[in-house]
Amino acid sequence: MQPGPLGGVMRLWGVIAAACLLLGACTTTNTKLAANPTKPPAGARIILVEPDIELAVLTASGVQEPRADWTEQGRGNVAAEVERQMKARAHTYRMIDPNEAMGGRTGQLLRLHEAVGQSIMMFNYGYVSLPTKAASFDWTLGEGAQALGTAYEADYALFVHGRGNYASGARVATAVGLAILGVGVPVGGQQCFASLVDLKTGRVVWFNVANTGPNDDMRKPDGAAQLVQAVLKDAPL
Amino acid sequence: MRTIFRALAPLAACLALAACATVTSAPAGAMKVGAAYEVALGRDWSDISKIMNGRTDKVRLLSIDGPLLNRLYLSDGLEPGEYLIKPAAKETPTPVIRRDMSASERLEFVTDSVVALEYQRVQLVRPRPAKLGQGSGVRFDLTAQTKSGLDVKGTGVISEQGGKTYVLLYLAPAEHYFDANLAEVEAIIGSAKLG
Repeated sequence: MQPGPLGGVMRLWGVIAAACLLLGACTTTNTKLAANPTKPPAGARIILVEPDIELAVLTASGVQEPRADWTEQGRGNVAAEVERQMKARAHTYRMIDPNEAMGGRTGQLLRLHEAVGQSIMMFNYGYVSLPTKAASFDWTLGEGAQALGTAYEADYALFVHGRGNYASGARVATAVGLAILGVGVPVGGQQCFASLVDLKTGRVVWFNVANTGPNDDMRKPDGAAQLVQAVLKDAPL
Repeated sequence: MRTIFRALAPLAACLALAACATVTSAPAGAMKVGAAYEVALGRDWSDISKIMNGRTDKVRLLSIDGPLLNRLYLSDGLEPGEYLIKPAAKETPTPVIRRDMSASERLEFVTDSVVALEYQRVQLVRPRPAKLGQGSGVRFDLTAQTKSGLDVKGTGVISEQGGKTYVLLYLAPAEHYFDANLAEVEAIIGSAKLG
């Protein structure tokens, strides 16, 4: 039976909707390097700050509701994958639990890194740029970062942060329904950034952001592996 | 730690990242804050006034590394009923200048304005007589914390001249960023010319 004109249009929109959902699965990365970055020499001591992950469900109305169970799963999977990838490199490393390091100067440095990371995301990856930061990728925690190096006998610190949201069943149904009417509706995604800080100078020597669709799902080991692989791609480690 | 991102979100949300919003350069040299008020910048700054919510036409907001890492508020003469930080909603009023404020009330205006920026544990320290331009005012330092617990330091001056209140306020994380630009800010305060 030949589809009527409306059926053809609906089929076309169905294809577009499916394409949109599939496109969400693509992973993109965007790396920034400090001017004259120094690659950690073989044997450099690196601390891995336990990944900071927060995952949420995207409801039909578009509200994000944090999910502690998903967050725990995602954090565990990402941490395991970061460790697995670091084992393959010629450096010594140790994972630190940020909750144990939040006191005193080290805690201030970890919090400062959060502010620096947010600033990088705003002005190097956001819609606006700062004229005072236009010349080069030049971000730092200051020489006080040596306190972190001394406390953990480390030369560099690697930070990984991830945020993700996943569409609920109702949200997916809404997305497909509205796609047929020609309205695009986000169905979730994940964003992850990683930064490498030289603990002697405090400089952020490397920074990368990976955006993935909901298919590279960090709640699953395979998805976390894809995401970590993407975000650590080109890391000078 | 896990709450830090969430805690920083309100600060990030302060940015009115509209596609049309622009950040312009505030180059080293004389900068007009108002018709009869100028300061001298010792280095280039970024003028982030237009991307920040909560600012008014009378307030210039400068930064070097972004508002989470350093911010310098420069207000032209605020008249009674005007504020340093514009309220986001009627339900969340911010401090306003009142007629005949005492010196201590003006300092309270500063600390309450910093609280309105969602900083916590705001404490004013070392208030002392000072000049802003040719007029007298009060210099102050302050300490505060972000919601995530990042220690922040501030310094500034508030001065009432000709029935108008002038505020210059610098805020930055205590770790590295405050000290990194303190000399520059001190020079800016010292360079103020009013009237």
